[in-house]
Amino acid sequence: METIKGIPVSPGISIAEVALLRSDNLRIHRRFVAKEDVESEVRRFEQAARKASRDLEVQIADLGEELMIAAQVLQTHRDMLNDPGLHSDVISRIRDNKFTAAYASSIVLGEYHDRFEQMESEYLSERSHDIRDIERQLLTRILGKRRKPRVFRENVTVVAHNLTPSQTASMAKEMVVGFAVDVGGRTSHTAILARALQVPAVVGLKDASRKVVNGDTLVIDGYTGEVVVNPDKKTLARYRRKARYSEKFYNQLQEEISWPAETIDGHEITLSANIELHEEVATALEWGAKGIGLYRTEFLYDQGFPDEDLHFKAYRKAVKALRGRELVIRTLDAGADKFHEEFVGFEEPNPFLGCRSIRLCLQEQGMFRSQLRAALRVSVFGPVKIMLPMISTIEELRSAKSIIAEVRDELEAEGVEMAPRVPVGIMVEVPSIALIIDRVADEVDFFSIGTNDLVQYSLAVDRVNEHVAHLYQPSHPGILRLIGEVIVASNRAGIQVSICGEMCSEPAYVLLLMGLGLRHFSLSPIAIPTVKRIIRQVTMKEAVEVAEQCLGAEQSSESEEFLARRTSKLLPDFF
Amino acid sequence: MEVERTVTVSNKYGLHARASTALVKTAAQYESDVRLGREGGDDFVDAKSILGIMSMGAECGANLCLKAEGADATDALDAIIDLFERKFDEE
Repeated sequence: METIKGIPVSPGISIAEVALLRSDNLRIHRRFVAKEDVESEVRRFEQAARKASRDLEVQIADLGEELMIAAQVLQTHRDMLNDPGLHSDVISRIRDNKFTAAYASSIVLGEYHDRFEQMESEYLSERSHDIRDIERQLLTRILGKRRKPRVFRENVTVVAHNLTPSQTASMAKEMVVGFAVDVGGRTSHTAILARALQVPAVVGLKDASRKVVNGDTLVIDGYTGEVVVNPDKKTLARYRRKARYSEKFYNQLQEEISWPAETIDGHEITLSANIELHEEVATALEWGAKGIGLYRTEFLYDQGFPDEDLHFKAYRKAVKALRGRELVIRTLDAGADKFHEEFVGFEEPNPFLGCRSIRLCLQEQGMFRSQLRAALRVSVFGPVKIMLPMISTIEELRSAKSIIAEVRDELEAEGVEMAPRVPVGIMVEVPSIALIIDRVADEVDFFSIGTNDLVQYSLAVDRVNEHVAHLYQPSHPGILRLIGEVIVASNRAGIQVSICGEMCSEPAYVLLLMGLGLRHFSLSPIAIPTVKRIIRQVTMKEAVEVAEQCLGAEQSSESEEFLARRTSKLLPDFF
Repeated sequence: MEVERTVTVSNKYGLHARASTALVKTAAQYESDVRLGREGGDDFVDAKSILGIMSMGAECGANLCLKAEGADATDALDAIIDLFERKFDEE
């Protein structure tokens, strides 16, 4: 079993066998034609373009009315193939450079491809795939290598490195129950078509197509972006359950997305989203997020060290997609273990208590500064906040803040535009800082409680270690007291406090956290409608009672039972 | 005859695939040579070329300059500007 995370672009759960689609790799070499053959080569190109355009006409007619979206994609391709500018460019390459029709076509379309790919708009840069696609169609006609499209006889999940728009469109009427694609974003054709067909799809899976073979069982979770290869029995059962209730439940929730997250007695709760990839902003907004409360930036470090520009481009896309809503960028929160090979040069026996996150950043300031420069630079495009993870002492906070101030001065000296103020906050996830929160409050603009690590560090439990996992108890009365005190102290100091750990995505804990005084939740996008539904059915008084009951419990099992009972009344479909 | 006009892109998605297709279709109904570019810029593309139009990346709010040359130049620009003003019938 292996789980791969990508970008969810079409909701739903599918469980089916893999049909791996390989793209034909047409290698075109630089070849020339003799002077006397130039005109016949021009005719060869024109004929091929006509044939390719006719192939598309046939496909369009086959699709019929109900698959308008797929048909529109193919109509655009047909128009591109008939583009007079394309024809004259290719023909002049054949006549002037004596290129073969195939080589001239691939050069000209290659130039268009690159031009589209570099465009800022995500939509237009996705269109570079359309260009590759018509190139492929044109070349197969020029080279006479046309193949019949594949026909599936039973339900399959299509896995591919890159599904071309025409491939996707031609599968529209097939027995495809899910899509998992290595590349692409929310506006890729696979995404658009999958939504139109109401088939779950995950894109941006990097190298998923190399990790599966035909016949593997694949689970696609179009809500979270998780794709599970050959799930074990337990996982399979879990997804079967989720698939069963998801359709009905999420369809209902869809209607509630625009409703405010407000209690019966008028207390509003802000629900923001946690994301890992800038492409997820759109999904988050679709599920009703008010902003991004946690943008994990570790993904940018996947291919070694990102330079300032890579940070900048990703952040800018996120900020722009948010159109004025807030983005909280968390600086690198990974251990030396992630890098030791090529960079840090040491191994640690206990990375969770080692040189990670802010500790690593303060040691490797060059890397930290690139990230900070990018974060400050994007502040000119929309509201941005910087969040420092794993702060355990006030000195660390002060060092990090003075680096931020230096970076800002540096940028100002360079004449770079920035927002006049970029708030800086910290993650509260080390118990030592939680216990002196009142003193830290003077030096930060906001707090975000990272419950995953706070629980782990407070209880001294590694939650992925199966031998002690039962001791990982977010509702342990000691944990609740600690969280409660952080919230109360922050509220008293007038500092915004949120929780961005998984605890607040968990329906059972919603009432409890509200009762402890929490007004800002940052959670996984998909959990937003569910959490909102709970909030809208209760009063703050009830929430406070729930919190008091749990704080008074002797052990977490008491609270868990009580919370499950309480929540099942509010979400009868969920349990 | 040579005619020049300006127009603002006001449909939500700008000159994306569908709008560009509509623009090409309209321009192709006229004999005149129609070109468009960003106002104040030097790069002009053929209004009958969908690849050219899309590669301008004209977003909502962009100001464009339209030039037509030929017997039916005025009619061509009238029709095209009407299309822009109708927001390509998107809304």
